[in-house]
Amino acid sequence: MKHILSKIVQSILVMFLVSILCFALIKLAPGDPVLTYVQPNMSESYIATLRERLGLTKPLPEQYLLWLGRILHGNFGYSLVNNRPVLQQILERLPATFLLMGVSLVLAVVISIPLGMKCGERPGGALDRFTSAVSYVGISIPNYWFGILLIYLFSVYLGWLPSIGMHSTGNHSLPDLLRHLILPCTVMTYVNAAQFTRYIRSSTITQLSEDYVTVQKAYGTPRRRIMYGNVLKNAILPLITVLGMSLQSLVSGAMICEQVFAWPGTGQLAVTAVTTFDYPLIMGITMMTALMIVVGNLLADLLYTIVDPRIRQAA
Amino acid sequence: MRKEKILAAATAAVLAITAGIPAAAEEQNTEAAENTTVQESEADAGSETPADAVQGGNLSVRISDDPLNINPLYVTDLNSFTIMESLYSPYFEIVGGEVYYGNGLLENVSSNDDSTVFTLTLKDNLKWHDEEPITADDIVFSMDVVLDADQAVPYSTYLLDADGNPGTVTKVDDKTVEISFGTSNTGFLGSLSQLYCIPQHIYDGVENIGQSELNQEPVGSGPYRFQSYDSGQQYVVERFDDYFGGTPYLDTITFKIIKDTNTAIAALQSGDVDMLSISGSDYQTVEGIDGVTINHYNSGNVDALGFNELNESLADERVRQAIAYALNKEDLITFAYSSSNYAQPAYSILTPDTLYYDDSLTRYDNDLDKAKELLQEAGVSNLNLTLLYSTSSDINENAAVYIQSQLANVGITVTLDPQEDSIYKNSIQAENSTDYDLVLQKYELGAEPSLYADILSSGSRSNYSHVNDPDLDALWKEGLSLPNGDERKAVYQQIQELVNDKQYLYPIDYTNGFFVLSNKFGGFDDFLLQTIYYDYSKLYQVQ
Repeated sequence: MKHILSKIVQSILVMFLVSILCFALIKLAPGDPVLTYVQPNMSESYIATLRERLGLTKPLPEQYLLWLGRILHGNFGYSLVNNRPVLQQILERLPATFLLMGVSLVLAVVISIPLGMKCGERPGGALDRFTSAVSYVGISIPNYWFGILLIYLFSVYLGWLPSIGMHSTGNHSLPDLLRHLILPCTVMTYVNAAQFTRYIRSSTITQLSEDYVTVQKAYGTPRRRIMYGNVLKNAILPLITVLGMSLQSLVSGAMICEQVFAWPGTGQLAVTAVTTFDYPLIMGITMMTALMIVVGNLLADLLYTIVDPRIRQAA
Repeated sequence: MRKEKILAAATAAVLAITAGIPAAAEEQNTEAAENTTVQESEADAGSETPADAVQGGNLSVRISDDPLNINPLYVTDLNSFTIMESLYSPYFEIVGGEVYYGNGLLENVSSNDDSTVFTLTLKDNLKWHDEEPITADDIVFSMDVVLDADQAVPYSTYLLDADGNPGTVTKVDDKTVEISFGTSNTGFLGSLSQLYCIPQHIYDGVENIGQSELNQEPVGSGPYRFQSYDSGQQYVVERFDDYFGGTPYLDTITFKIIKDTNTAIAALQSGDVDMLSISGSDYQTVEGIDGVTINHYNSGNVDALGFNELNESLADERVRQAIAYALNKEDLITFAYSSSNYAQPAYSILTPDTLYYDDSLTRYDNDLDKAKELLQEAGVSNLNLTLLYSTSSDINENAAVYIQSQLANVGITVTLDPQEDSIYKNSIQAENSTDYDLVLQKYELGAEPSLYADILSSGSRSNYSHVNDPDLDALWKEGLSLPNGDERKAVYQQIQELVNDKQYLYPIDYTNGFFVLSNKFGGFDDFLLQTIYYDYSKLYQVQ
């Protein structure tokens, strides 16, 4: 319990530091956010009023404290370019990102655990060599290129699947959504599964050389039971860390993949925010992402204590 | 604020397109008659149903990002503008230099002979999308909003005269409104064609209309009305059966948000998108796609090279002329666009369809010896210049590389400064910016010559070259207040010569625009009124 509490306190501290860093980075970025959306015919006095209204004339520490105070009250401010509440804009995009990233993470885990273990069980075997080749391609392939390739193959030439978006016009049915989900989800699942499989494979190999496996073998425990009763539990430990790190993608989305498939998620929103220098929106998305990374790590830590008794005891 | 500032030029194409939207182009023959009624464009005729038209269907149009603000008084980006035109009707349009009432709310606009009083007459039986009638009160209300400083309408200066005084807007009767100015306002029709009417019964008493939630579900006057908006995905409008121009053909138009151009082109091929606008760099890719037609049109856009006169060397006109001589426009265009088909060399700061455009100016082009001679005369050697440009288009990248290599031939070292678009805008919009020496810029100001003052008059935010020439300023002001005729023509000829001889700006090219439309749809010629001015009621599905 003490261990958990100290982790939570650490996380809060990290978030505090992240907020300072995030604020400072935005302020250090070249350019003036007001100038970005000023119309050439706006008068100087109007621009000055605008600057004042946005609190940009106050000293930096004061600006920071005001901003932090608002964030703590759940007020992320308003977009500079369309005046809409930042939080509302992020929340609008979250379901799309959550769906795409959630489904692909689950699929990647479901594929990579048995596959990684099979490969780790017989390193150098036919399956391992084939999977390694496919995984390396998955890790190195640019999302953008792979996405466009899938669109040309399945949408343009075969005409099986829609190329863009989340829904067809006027059709909000589940089958239509699933058809739209297939291509972007394939890209994200492939990329994630390729990475996860490599982790599971290598930790399986390490675990299989451990003494406890040799002992189990000596006792004549069936291979299947060794693999799924003992090795699995230890082999997925590194995956917990990786998954903890990936949790933020449920909120931040995948900028490139979302852009290629015109998927209306937070990744695209982030791209828009950056290109329009919409700094309240940039900070909103960054803080949400940071929060998810911290929460992800915290969850991973907690899971570790459940899965690994050594850590529990040390704590 | 001076009139020149009104219809501003913005370097960013999007801003330029919306801020400087087309322009006045008053007829050249308006000077004579007393109480002139502006001649109706021929485009007005011909509202017969095309033989191959089918009622119904959905058209998917690509836009590159979410709209920022659909309210026509606050629209500042091209995506919002593209959607807004389906939802709201203008007062009238100016097509080919003439007033076109076809898709406008007005049946007539007239002015007295010295252009101080304008009378606007509404068509009969006009309705807002919620079936409320559109009356003179809506016009007066909208004009009041434009002039109300607290409402911060970006186009507020459209209703000011040359002395910066606001026009007086008076309701004559339910159908008629009169707008009068203290001094002659020759360019006002151009401004008026770019203002829109918003419903009084919706916005009356709203403190901050620009930021109002009401803009999320707009009540307009155009051929299509708001149906739904899914952030990041699509904006759907549906047919408005009581549209004054007759029932539009299509049931719905879906504006699909696709940031990536390659994806948009793939979506065109797969049939997920029916219409999109492309740049010259994508022309060859799209040319090979079956079942679509590429429509060429005059985009009204000018690409130019600006010289920041805050740099001491560039303040010398001989150095600017030398740079012009060191470049070859045709080569530059071929290099930038990979073909000369996508743009024409520009020799005047005005576009060829602008009133009083002069195509007989001296050409400072393609003479390396002359360039070296001028630099020597100016006593300039080993000049180092920074060239700023936006990375939003690969055409800019190509043009910058060409300029760098050509200027190396005359001993000028150019350091390229490619910047992401928002940073680029920041650098050029900052007052007295010395972040750059040379800058690649764009502008689109339409057919009314007075609007071009914005890019080259002292004190203007869009004067990125920081030109400060009292003679030029005086000429711009004179041109604005003179009635159309030989005297006004002479002023604009003088301006073009002065800018050209002093090389205050080096216009590179007039770009062509390309609109791709699936062959399943027709009516494009009537749809595209001018540059970015559309009449969506004319588009239909073919049998």
